[in-house]
Formats: sequence, structure tokens, C-alpha cells
Amino acid sequence: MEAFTAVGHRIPKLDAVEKATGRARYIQDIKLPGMLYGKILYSKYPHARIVHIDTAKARRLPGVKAVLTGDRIPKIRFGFYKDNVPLKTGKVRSRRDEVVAVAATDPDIAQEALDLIEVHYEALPAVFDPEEAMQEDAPLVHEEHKTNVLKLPWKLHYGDVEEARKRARHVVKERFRVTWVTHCCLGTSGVIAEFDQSNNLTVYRNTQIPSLAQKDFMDALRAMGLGDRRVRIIKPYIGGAFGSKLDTYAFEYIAILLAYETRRPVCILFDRKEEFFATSTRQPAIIDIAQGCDAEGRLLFRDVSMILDNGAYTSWGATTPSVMMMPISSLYRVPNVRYHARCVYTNNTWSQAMRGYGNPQATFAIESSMDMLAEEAGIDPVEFRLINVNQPGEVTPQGFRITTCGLRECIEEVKRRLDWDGPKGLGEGVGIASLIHVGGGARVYKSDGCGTLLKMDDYGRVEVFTGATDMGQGADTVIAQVVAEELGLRVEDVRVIHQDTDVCPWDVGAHASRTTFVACNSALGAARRIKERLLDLASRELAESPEALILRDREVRSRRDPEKRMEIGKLLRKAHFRLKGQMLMADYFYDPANENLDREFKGNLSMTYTFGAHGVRVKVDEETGKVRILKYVAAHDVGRAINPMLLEGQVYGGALMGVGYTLTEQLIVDKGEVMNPNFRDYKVPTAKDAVAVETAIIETVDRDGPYGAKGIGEPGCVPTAPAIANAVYDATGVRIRELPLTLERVLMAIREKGAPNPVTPQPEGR
Amino acid sequence: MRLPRFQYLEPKDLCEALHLLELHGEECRILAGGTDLLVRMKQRLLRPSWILSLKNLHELDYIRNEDGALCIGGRTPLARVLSSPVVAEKIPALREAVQSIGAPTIQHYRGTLGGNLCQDTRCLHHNQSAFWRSTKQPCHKAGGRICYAREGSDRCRSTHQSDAAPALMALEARVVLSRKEGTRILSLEDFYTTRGETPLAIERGEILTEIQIPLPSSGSGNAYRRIAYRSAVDFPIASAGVSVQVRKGRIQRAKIVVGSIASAPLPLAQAGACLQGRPLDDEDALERAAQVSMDHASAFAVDNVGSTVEYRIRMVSVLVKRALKEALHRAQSREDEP
Repeated sequence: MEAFTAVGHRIPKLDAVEKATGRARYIQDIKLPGMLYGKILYSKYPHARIVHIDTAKARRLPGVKAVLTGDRIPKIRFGFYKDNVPLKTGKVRSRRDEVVAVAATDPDIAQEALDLIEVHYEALPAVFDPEEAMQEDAPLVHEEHKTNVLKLPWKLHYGDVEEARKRARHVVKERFRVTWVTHCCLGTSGVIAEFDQSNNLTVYRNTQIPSLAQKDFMDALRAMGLGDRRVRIIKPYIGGAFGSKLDTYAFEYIAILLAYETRRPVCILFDRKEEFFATSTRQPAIIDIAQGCDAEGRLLFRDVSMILDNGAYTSWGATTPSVMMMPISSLYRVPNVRYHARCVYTNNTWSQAMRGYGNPQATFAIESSMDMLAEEAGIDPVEFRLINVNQPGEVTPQGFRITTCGLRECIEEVKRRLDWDGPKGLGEGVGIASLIHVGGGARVYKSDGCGTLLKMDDYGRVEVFTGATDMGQGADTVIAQVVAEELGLRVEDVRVIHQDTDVCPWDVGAHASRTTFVACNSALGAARRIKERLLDLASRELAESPEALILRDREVRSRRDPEKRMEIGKLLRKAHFRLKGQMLMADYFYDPANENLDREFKGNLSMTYTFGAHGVRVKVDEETGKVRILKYVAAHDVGRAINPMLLEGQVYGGALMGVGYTLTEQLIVDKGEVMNPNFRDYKVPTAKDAVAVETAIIETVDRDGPYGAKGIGEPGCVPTAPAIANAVYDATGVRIRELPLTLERVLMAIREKGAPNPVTPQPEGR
Repeated sequence: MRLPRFQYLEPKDLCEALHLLELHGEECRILAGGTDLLVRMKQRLLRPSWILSLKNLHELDYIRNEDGALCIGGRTPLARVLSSPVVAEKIPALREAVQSIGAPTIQHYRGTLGGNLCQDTRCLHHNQSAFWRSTKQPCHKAGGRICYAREGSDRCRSTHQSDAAPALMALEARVVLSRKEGTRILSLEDFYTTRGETPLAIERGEILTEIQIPLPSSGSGNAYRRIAYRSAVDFPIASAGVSVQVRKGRIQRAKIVVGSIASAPLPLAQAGACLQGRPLDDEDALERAAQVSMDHASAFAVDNVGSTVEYRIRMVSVLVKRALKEALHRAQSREDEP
């Protein structure tokens, strides 16, 4: 096989220069003629009855064009559970509840108008702890729902856990907790809504789900009595999403309602404070886990139950248990599995998708517990994992059909690079954790598809119209690479267009690490159709059979006869400029052959699964509780690295996001109120905190992946927390069961353990 | 968040600046980098009508040696302090403090030493947006009579989190405050009022124009240690600046100042006294000094910077001890110098 010319190469992101020079246009850069600025007045209480809203003064302020309250808008319900409305009526259920919205000619006037609005509330008893919310007498967040426990079916049992528990030689049982963290996108959320004269709607929005958002907004139009109108979504450059833009939110509907009311485009941009308190977080959870193994260290059962703080409303985030099931049932070979999750309404902020979609939370519990069980069984943690490692060809209890699997190689690579058995300095420890994630799409919606339209010009250049969304991860670049490879072009000959639902085909969204797998397979499908026609044209021009022709270096050439060659542009012109001429265009819709989960949550959710292992060497300062990462190795089975540079970037970014999740990040939520809605008080790692992540790429070349590739968007942040927590245990003997591993928590645990002398002089920690 | 409206003044020299300051009085705030001021204005904690920028006052950008003291102009950029060989050699505590302020970019492009000393106190219950605060009764700092950080407190318990202040106070630094009519010099202990509501003794019409640091003699050493969650863009949750004087294997004098615990850096004379006359390797004395520091600090700390009081107090003992060890080590190595 000939070497690839585009695939596998370290090609810088196609938009790198645009972004680095400030030319890329984000939602914040778009100004439409006559555009108004919308702002939202949020609740002052976590739970209160709205007694009266006085907007008279705001309406009189010059420049104010519209003031909307919940009782003046049509019944639009949104969210996974349809329990949310754009502007609240009757009562507020969280501090981020939207109460009044204003549109004005400039943002300062809109802000001033908000200050003139008086809302009288009658405070209601609130509930902030999910366990308290489950009590009989707890205040109800949604009265009509009768209970705070959501009626969601997250319950599975494969095999017989109780019987396996009896057989188990070693059993560990523990409770873990994880808290709220947020995405910290550099590009904050924003929307511009505009109606044309016929009431067709255009929405500019940095969204990860253009096609699903289009449908949500069509539903909204229907509620507004505009059911037969069109919706167009335009995506500007997206400055990061990580799941935060995987749903439609109140502010988008508010912009639409304000635009309809004023007949002018209305723009709502989140400021950083709003981005922190009004964007949905990662789910906090209380996780009880028990695992057991036999005398040889073979896992016999895993029993997990969870309580998730749903917050006041339900977004797609409430479906994270459906992803948590994946590592619970299928990370390592474990024959008997039971899982039960309850999502509980509280008056806290509500959660949403965030990179890994529940997997990091579940993996923290599983992989911490794996180390505990290994110790109980007297087996080295690496050895223990290798005994139970997933293997190619196996079918997991949930019905996942594992095709390629490089988990063993990943674990061994981490062990080697980390010098696992080597000497450790004072206060040093090593830890490892693995991951499984969907790597070949994930059928969470009725379709997991992505469409591609492809057209060639007269010069050998190609435009790819894809349903995929590039939100900074580099989707455009890898799509261009596979199309260039397939058509024998250079990457710069390919332009990827994904910004507009009027010209781009459908796609379910940029989630589940699916874009490289699904969108590249779709683009490849279209490219192959073009290729077939190119070869057919060329075989006539060159008098050579199509099977003997290849496309390479912008040429079509014969494998047999080097004289038989023609520039692709020339071939295209010959086809075009003649009687009954033709130009080359193709379409393709790729929907992977994966399965929706059935009633028992069984089914082959993804075409292939991705695996990885992270290992860290830490040094713990036993006097301060500070955890310093000395070495970080991230090994991933990626199928094939289409672009090793972007792939390493994904792993690096994921691991650092994981380091923040593990060590410092948490939204401090006090009685429903976010106390640290800014980068100063919310401790996302800075450039100075960045650790050098050593990436090990394991290529297993998956039969279903585009050029063998699997998804890598999310896995980088999945095993970080347990790897670090396990290393801290190795270093200090203390098991931290709650994220993040703050200074206070680590120190307190060390002191509780009873360090021989907590004030022993230490080498100076400079 | 956007800045509220204000008039912007950019005087050419100190004379003009002092004149303008006198003219606009209380309504005027000084911009010397803005890393603290502008954030406060965005949160509507301050709404000055006038902003007076020290941008063009290059006459306040200097580091020079005068009569045994190192004099640093008030608007000297932090990066310049970091690049000073005298600071590196004789007052490493200041260098260590400045290195931890903000981030390298802030040190390089924006922050000034005077600005760092003049930063206001902070509290998680006060340093929030106007809307956030509008849901509550005003606290002491906002002119009310409530404290959210400590129930029942009759005064503001906000925390002074400057890095440079405790380091410089341990070095017995002074500040020069200039006004139209003349100047006055205050020790840092007098410059910080310890009142959370009004933490600085700077008065209407005054600009902090110079910081004077007595140059340590031979046999002296100093150091600064702090702890924060991150390596940059993070105020310390506890810090310690110390300076020591040693002679013939014994500690003659030790000055210990604890930062980020109270509304002003805390000079702890009693803790310093524990070390007086003790041999350099007297672990018990170090331990005692650390313990006394911790006990003293525990009277001041409240839960208002995002960590627990218990943890911060414990860190006082760790940081004091670590800073002392480093300072003693430095003093020892400089004992033989002329």
C-alpha cells in the first residue's frame, strides 16, 4: 500500500491563522443592520412565588423596544423533560431562572432597563441537597410532578450481582462524590434571531446541534402560531463548546420572541458571569459502588447506585446515566452488573452535557474502586487491570460488540513510560486509570447520521458541505484530509462548509466523540462517488481501465503506464466544456449501523469503542496538601490518527480539563447561588499550571472507521481524576473520595490518617 | 460586564496629577495598572466620576539606591522590580512576592508595585456583581451593618490579599504619599489601617509615589512564601513574609508578617520574639514561632476567600516556618559579607 499523502500527516488546523490573527468571526463579532440587544433579568431567589412584576419604568426608558414577561408569551416548553419555559410564570425554581427580558437599541440601555424593573417575590422553602429533596416532606420543585425524583428509567441488572457477591473472595464498597464544574469556553454563548417579512426565522448561534436546534425552533414557531415557517441556523466560528451548546436554552427562545415582538434582529450575548451561572454544568453525583473479584483477581460483579442533582430543570444532562452505564457495564470484563441512578430536582443550577457526558464521574468511582479492590486482593493495580482487560471480539453485558481494542497495549505503554516499578522520591506516588468510550458514533437519537454534499469546480478543487460542526476541535481539517486523500488532492484544495443549515445537510450534532468517525465516513462516501466518476472519465480520456487508475498529487495516473496521466483539473474541464457537458457533484448520507439501547439498556450503541489509559506520577506536599503532577502519560487506542497533531491536542486539552476537574475546579454553590462566577475565583488551571502531557498513540485501525479512525473528542478527560487520586493514595496512603482533590481535602485526609508527625521538616518546596 | 461611564484624565507629570487629584477629590480614582480597579468598577463596587491615569508619569518609574534604602517609584512596573539585580540579591522576599502577583503577562504589561500595595481588601460576599449584591442587605463594606463572612461582626472582615505588602512590611518598608502641599512618609504598618471598610491610610488628594525599603545589612535574610490553588491569577489564601538578622550562629532579630488572613498584613512581634537569641538550628524555637503565628492569625481569619479558616490558619504555621528557614539559610550565607 502506498503511503498516504494527507491522512496521518501533522497538518495545522485550517482555521489556525484566521483565529490567531483575530480575523475569525465569532457570534460576538456579528452586527446586523437595525440589531437590538436583549438582556435577561434573572431571579433573586432560589425558590419563590412571583407576586408582581412592574415593568412600567423600563418600558418608558428611551431606546427600549420591548419588555417581555412570562405571561405575555406563547406556551413554549423545552428541555429533555419539557419542564422549562423561556420566561417563568408563577414561581422561580433557581437563581438562574429567567423572569423578564428586554430589547433595546444598545446593551447599556438594556441593562439600565433591567435595573428599572421591580419584581416582588414571596420566598418559598427551598431544597439544595438531593438526598433531602428525596424525603417525603421536602419542598417540591415542580408541584405538578408530585415528587422531586424524576421518572427516568435508569435501572439495569445483568447477570446476578447478589449471587456473585457471595462467590467473591474480595469485595470493596465505597461512596464517592463529584461536584459542579463548568465548561469554561473562551467563546461565551450568544444568539441573534431575525425574522424576515414572511416570518421565516434565521438564528445565528454558536451551537453544536444545528439540525436539532432547527427542529426545536420550529416547535417554538408552531407554539407562536407560525408552524409553516422556515428556520435557518447560521453558525459563526465557535470558541469552544464541550457540551455546553448541545441543547437549546431559554435565552435563545427569548431572542426569538423579542425579535418577533420588535420586528428587528435581536442579539443576546452572555457575559462571563452569565456564562458561569446561567450555563449548565457537569452533573454532581453521589456514587455508591461495590465491586468484587475472585481469588485470582477476576472481577465478578460491579454494583453501582447514584443520586444525581438534576437542579431545577431537565436538559439532556439528565440522560448522562445512559452513558455512565457504559463504563459501569463494560470497562474491564465484569459478568454481573447492576446500576441504578436517580435524578432529583433541587433548587440548584441545572446540569447539561459536558465532555465525557457522565463518563468521567462514573470512571472516577470505578477506577478508584478498582485500586481499592486490587489492594484488597493483594495484586498490583496494573496487573489487576490486565487480568480483567477488555479484548477484541468480546461482547460486554450491555451488548457492546468490541471490535478493535488496544486497552492492554495502552496500559502496558503507560506502565513502561511511567517507570511503574521504578524508585519513587519522598512524597511521590504513581497511579493509573483506564477508560472506555464510544468511538464509532452513538445512537442516542433516532438517527446517528451525517450528510455530505460535495462539488468539484473546473480546476480540481472541491467544496464539501457537511452537517458536522467544527467547534474548535478541528473537524473541518480532518474532513478535508480524508477527502483530499480519497481524491488525490492536497488539503488546501478542499474547502469544508458547515456554517449554514440552508446549504448543509442534516447531522445529529457534535457530541459523543462522533464527528471524525461519522462525518469523515459520510464525506468519504461522497468522495468515493466522485472518485468513481473521475476514474470513469479518465479511463475514456486515457484509454485505460478504471481499476488501473489512481488519483494522486492532483493527477489521475495509470499504475501500469507512467505515460498515461492527466491533471484532475484538466480532466474536469474536458468533461464540462463540451456538448452535454457535466460537472461532478455527489451526495452521501452516512448513518452508522449502531443500535439504540433497548428497554434493558442493551444494544450495540456504537460501531466501535475507544480505549485508553492515563498514568501519573505525583508528589504530595504532606504539610499543605498540594498535589504536584511530575509526569503525565496518556495512551489512547485511536484506531488511526488521521491528524496526529490535532489528536494530541485533543488528548492534551482533555487531560488538562481533567486535571482541573480533579484538583482545583468547582463551582461554589451556596444555597443555590454561584459564589465564584469568574475566572479569578473559579480555579480553572492557568498556562502556568499546565502539565506536559505525554501522548502515546496506539493505532488499531478499526475496520469501520474512516481510514480506521475512532473518536477521540472526549476520552482525554475521562480517566484523569481516578489516575491522580490513585497516585495520591500511592504517595500518602489516603483515599480521596470526593472531587476536587483540593488542598484542604488532601491535607485533612492526611491528618486524619495520622501522619507520624505532621510538622516534620521537609525539603524546601520552592 | 462593561465599565460604568467616567471621565478619563491623563496628566503629563506628577505636578499636574496632584493638581487634578486635588481638584476632583473623592470622585477621582488613580489608575496605576488597573488590574484591581477596573474589575471593581465592572462589578460596580466603585463608580468614580474621574479616572486619573499614572501612565505618563515616568518620573515614578525607577529603582534607585538612596542612603541605605532601595527606593522604588510608585508606578514602577512589576516586571522591572523582577529584573532588578539589587532586589534579586538583597531583597529576595520582594522578588518572590512580585513573582506570584497575577500572571507573567500582568507583571509585564500592567501591574505596578504601588498598585499592588494600594489594592483593596476582598471578600467573596462583597466582590460580586451589582445584581448579585442587590439581592441582599448591604454589608459593612457597602455602608451597611451586616457581615456575611462572620455572623454578628460589628465591622468589615474583608481580607487584604496583596503579595507585596507582607513581604515589604517584614522588611520595614515605608511609603511616600505625595499631595499638592507636600509629602508624608508612613511605615507600612501605619499605611494599612486594619479596617476592612477603609483599609488604606491614603487620604484625599494623595498619590503613593515611592516605596522605600531599608537595604538589609550583612547577616540578614528575608523570604516570602504563599499558598494558592493555582500557579497564576490567584490571590494567596495565606502568606508569610519574614526577615531575620543573624550573628555568630544565633538569631538576633526576626520579623514575621502574615498576609491574606486579616484586613491588613499582620505583623507578629510575639512570634518573632520566640526566635530572639536562639541558635539557627533551634527547631523547637521555629516550631514555637510558627505555633504563635498560627494562634495569633486564628483570631482574624474568616471564611471569605474560598478556602476554610481551619486550613488557612494551619498554612500560616507551615508558611511562616518555611519562610523562616529560607530566610535563615540566606542570612547564614550572607553573614560573612562586608
